[in-house]
Amino acid sequence: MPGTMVLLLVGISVIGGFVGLIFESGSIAIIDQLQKPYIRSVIQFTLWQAALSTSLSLLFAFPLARALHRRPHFFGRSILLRLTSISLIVPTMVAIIGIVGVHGRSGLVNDFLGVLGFPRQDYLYGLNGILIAHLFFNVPLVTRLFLNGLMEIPQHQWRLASHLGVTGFNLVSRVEWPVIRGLIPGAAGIVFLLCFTSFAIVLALGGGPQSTTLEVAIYQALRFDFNLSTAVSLSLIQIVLCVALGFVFFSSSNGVKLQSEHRPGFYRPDGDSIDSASSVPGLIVPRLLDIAVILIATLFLLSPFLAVVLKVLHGKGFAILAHSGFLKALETSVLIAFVAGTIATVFALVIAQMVATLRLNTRYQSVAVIPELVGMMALIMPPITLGTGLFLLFRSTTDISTLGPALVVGINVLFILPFALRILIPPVHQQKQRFDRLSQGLGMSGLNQWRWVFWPGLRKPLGYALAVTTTLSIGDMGVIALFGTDNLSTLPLLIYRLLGNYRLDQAAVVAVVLCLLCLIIFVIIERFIGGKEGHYNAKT
Amino acid sequence: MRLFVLLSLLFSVQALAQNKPTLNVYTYDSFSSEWGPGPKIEQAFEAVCECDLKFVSVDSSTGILSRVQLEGAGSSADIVLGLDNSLIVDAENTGLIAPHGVDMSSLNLPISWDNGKFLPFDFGYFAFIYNTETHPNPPGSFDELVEADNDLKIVIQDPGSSTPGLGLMLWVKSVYGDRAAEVWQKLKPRILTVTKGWSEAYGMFLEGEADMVLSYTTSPAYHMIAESESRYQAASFSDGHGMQIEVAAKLKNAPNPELADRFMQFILTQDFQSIIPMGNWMFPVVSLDEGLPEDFGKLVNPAISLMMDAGEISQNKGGWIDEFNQALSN
Repeated sequence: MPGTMVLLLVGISVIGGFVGLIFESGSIAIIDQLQKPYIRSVIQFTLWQAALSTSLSLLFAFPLARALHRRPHFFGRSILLRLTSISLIVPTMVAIIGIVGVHGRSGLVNDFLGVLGFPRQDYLYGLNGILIAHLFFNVPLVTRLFLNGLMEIPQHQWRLASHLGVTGFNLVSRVEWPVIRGLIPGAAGIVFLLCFTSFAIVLALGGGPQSTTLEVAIYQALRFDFNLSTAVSLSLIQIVLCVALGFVFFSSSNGVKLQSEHRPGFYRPDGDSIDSASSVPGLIVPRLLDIAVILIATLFLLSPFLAVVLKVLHGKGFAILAHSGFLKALETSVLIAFVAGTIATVFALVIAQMVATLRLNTRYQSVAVIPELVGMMALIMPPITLGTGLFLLFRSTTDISTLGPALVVGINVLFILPFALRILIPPVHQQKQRFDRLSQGLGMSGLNQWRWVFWPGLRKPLGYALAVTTTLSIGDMGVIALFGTDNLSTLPLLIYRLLGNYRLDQAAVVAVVLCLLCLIIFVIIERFIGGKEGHYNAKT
Repeated sequence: MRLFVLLSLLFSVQALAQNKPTLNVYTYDSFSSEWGPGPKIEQAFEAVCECDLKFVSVDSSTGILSRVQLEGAGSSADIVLGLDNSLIVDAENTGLIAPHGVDMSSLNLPISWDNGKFLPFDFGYFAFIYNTETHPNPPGSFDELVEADNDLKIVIQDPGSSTPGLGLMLWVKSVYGDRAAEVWQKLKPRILTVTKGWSEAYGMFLEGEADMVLSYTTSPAYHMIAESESRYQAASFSDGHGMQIEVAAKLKNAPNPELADRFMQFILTQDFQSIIPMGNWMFPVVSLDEGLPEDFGKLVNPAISLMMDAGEISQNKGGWIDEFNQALSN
């Protein structure tokens, strides 16, 4: 059973890594940690920034989703939508470089204020910076979820509302709100947990003790003090909070759909019609409001990219391209990402097949969720804690110079596996359901069955899964922050270091290279494995 | 035939490279970077050692030792370079450090030094650097800094991750004692950000993000000598200035102990020390044959230099860092 073996490997790595660290640290002192006023304020800040990020993301996403829903035609709409669907795979460090370029003391906003004669403002470092970055990543995600929700409101409801003359606020509360309300727990849960465990953003934009999250405190305990006991205790606190809060959000959620099928014709009484860009007469104010919302959102989401490009056009940063450190980081990044992406996709496929087999067998239906849960187990662990635990476990038996890179790949696999599972489980289930009997009837099995029955239907989702996992892995700035030296570096770590040395021009050049690399790899993998017909289900 | 020649050439080059032992020195990034003293020191040592000197850099000074602790007995580190006087007791307690066995009679430090495990390689005084063009009247003491305008933004380093950050915390502690927490709270509105390492903070200052940055009295020498730029100067504090002695140590588990010994000896030679003033922009620990660069004479000369006892620091560091963090997080 390859499925069982993969699950065992994943499960043992996650549990083994953590137990290994507990074993090495010798003691767990959660109570001692909780008694420290500083640790308490770290926990408070972690919760506070996550709560704020979540509320603001939901608050800003709703009008944006509405505006996009009401205006099906405008120049750049499809690009904006595409942007909302890729926001999660924009490498964090690229976004941070861009955000510093826009909101830093010498950023675009301050340049603009300067032209108007205002004094420069320092608002980036600390909570503000963390919120800006979290909104940059999460507003598109939530907008996407809300827009999908709005698009699933049946046509007859809109027509009914129109006949009854329901408009304005009533339209929101009677037609839209019931749908959105159902989406909020799931959406809030995802955003909250992402922000709760946020690492690179807080590390780069945090600005000191007053804005440190648990994840960063764990990193500091490991990287600077080598205090394993503190790291283990803080990790346990984080895991317990994560699981408890996740439970609160997701127990009241009815599932989260990131992708929605394209609905060709839709109509809403207060929006532009689908056939032409002509506006409904008498609705000038809402139209202007929508335009304003869309413009502000576009400006907020695109300005960091613009800032990066402007920095590159400065021309002072190109020297980095000839630097041996850059070439090495490029090579390491590509290698790590391909290996991790491939392993994760293969693992996900094996687990997905297991899930499908279990689901289709009435006796085992009830346990079909277990493999998926094991596959997602790593998500509640701080990657650096897991990485350190595994490192300590293997350091006496393995050559240290190969252990670092191997663990970076391994930890990456564990953390991109859930994404691959999300993508692969539904289509694999569908294929099995459809063709298992048929191919058995035809006497097909093994490779033949794969080649002729499953492959044609699965190559698209497989290509998409590999593309997503590879891209995620190439932009990852997690465990590499712990193991990285100048001999083991990736492009995101290089950006972080250049940012640390305040070489923003060079960092911007590397950021552009990283983005292009992601784009190229994504397109090539999707086309090469998925076939010519373009991307899988990722378009609205 | 040509291919054969090429191949054999390739192999012989590789063989040559393999014959040379590698000495791994773990250090902080600004020391090993191409703008730091690392490359020149590498060149100077490789000219005499028949070896390959490799700097492995981590992103901050306190991270050097925890890196070695993480790697354990299998670590390839021979030498750690870049800890300072405030960390030596903690470092010794890890049990990873071996005696250096270097004759220290040539040392020329403002204080006496007889530690057999940690060898000084440079020293300096902490100071706030400011831009004379935008701030012609910098604060002249901590009291003045604490009472300064809230618009005066400073960037400092984290005492948990960086030796200058730790140095500042101890400096404040030696000036104010039990009132330190109160002083940090008063300073808080003026602290733009607390960075992880020195280079991050200094970079922000140079980009104009902050008005003052914690660095060294020697930093202006860099601008005067390398850039012919005299607008960046150190603010002289009447309370005195914290002193830092940066040290190197040999590891017990060094894969190349003899080579490590040779490097430790090399640290006090003119070849190494003469690179320090205009490489790491600190003071050398022995008198240089050629003397110090002329512009070093223009630097702030602290009337009082403050340095705490290493044992006292080790005992209280954890609590003091908690106090610092707590004061800044309210």
